[in-house]
Amino acid sequence: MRCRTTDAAVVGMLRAGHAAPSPETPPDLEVLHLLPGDLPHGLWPRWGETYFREREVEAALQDTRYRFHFYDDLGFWQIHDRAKGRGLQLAAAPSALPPWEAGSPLRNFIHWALLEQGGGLVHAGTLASGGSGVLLAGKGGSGKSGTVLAGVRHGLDSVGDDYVALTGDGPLRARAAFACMKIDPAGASRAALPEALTRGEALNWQGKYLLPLTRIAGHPMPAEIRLGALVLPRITHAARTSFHPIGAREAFLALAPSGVTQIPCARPEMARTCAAVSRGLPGYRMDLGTDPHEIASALRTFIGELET
Amino acid sequence: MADIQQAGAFQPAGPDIVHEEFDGDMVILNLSCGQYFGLNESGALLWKAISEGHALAEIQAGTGRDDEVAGFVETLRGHGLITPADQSVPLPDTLLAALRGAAPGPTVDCYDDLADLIIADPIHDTDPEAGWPKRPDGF
Repeated sequence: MRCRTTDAAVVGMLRAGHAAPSPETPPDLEVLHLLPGDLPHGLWPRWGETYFREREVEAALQDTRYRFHFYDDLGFWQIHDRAKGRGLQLAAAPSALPPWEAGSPLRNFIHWALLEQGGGLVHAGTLASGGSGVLLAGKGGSGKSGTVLAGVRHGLDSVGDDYVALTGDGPLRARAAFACMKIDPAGASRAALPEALTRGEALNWQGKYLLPLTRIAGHPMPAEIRLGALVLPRITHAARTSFHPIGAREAFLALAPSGVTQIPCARPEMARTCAAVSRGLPGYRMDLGTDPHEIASALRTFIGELET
Repeated sequence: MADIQQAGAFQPAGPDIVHEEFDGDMVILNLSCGQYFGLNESGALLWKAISEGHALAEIQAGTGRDDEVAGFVETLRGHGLITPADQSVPLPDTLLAALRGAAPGPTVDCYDDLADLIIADPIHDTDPEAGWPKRPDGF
């Protein structure tokens, strides 16, 4: 992916928010981010209605080569040409970006581009050991982020805790899409995160720290992992962590909702991607223990058993 | 019931109506309001026939249970899942054979527990009274 812009805030966000790209790989997505001053006077578009009627626009574009979203509160435009793999992003002012862009820069474009390759972003965390791992799904408060945090702090790998890229060819693989992890102060305290990691860090729009995954883990992370299961964590305060098989339907209903809500203009495709993942991976409910070290250890054993 | 027969054939009520099958378990999601629906085996088969746009009369002839099919269509319409189609699609023999062997008693179970997660739009939410879009309080 390559993005061109004159907005220093966007440059900083992309550098901090994305894993370093491989220099050998040609860009499969090019995004041009413009500010009003980048265009001759009079060429900046204007949305002619009071509100952006998201559903109507999505339905109208359903069978076209374009995907489009407009955040009318910010005057923020995103237009994607599926055929050319190019995106145009227009911000009404420097730094006038949706708040979630800091943690997942160009998220919509990345998802739209991945869809063209048979993959997509999914709203899930990951944990892995030795190149193999699991997707962790569930709504807010289910224990997904806490599980990822416990795992990476105790030696497991991850390619993301919020959105990860799934590739569409062969066995399911998850690739790192974004470099940072979101942690609320309470979660940081539960995981006994060293104070030095959060000292001086600002809280984001959700009241969370946004920190590089490698910095939290204290060890380098792989760019990609093989997936062996879809796991739904559940906070149970059990003495020990345990895993229980579940059906594909239950897994789908845990994985799909947040993704189809958060990424616009490709909602049916997101639902299909989540359904394919739910059918393609064995599903498990993970009843969480209370000790982060024990949770990580149970996951390492579980992942090892998936391999055999 | 009369207007259902008049419609002739139906189709999903827009791109926000998606369905997925898991080991014979059919789930229909309405992405615009967050409701999802679980269908039994007989309901899943009827949904397939109806949502593919096959003529209602042919589906009824296949099952031999006119009222049951019409009632099922009425339920689907009541949930906003289907809308009349301009034209019908010929019913393939394989689906006709499946309809002939289908058990009676199609059911649709509606669930709302994901509605707070799958919302139309967190900023411009839908409101049946105020119309759409509507800004929720606080925005």
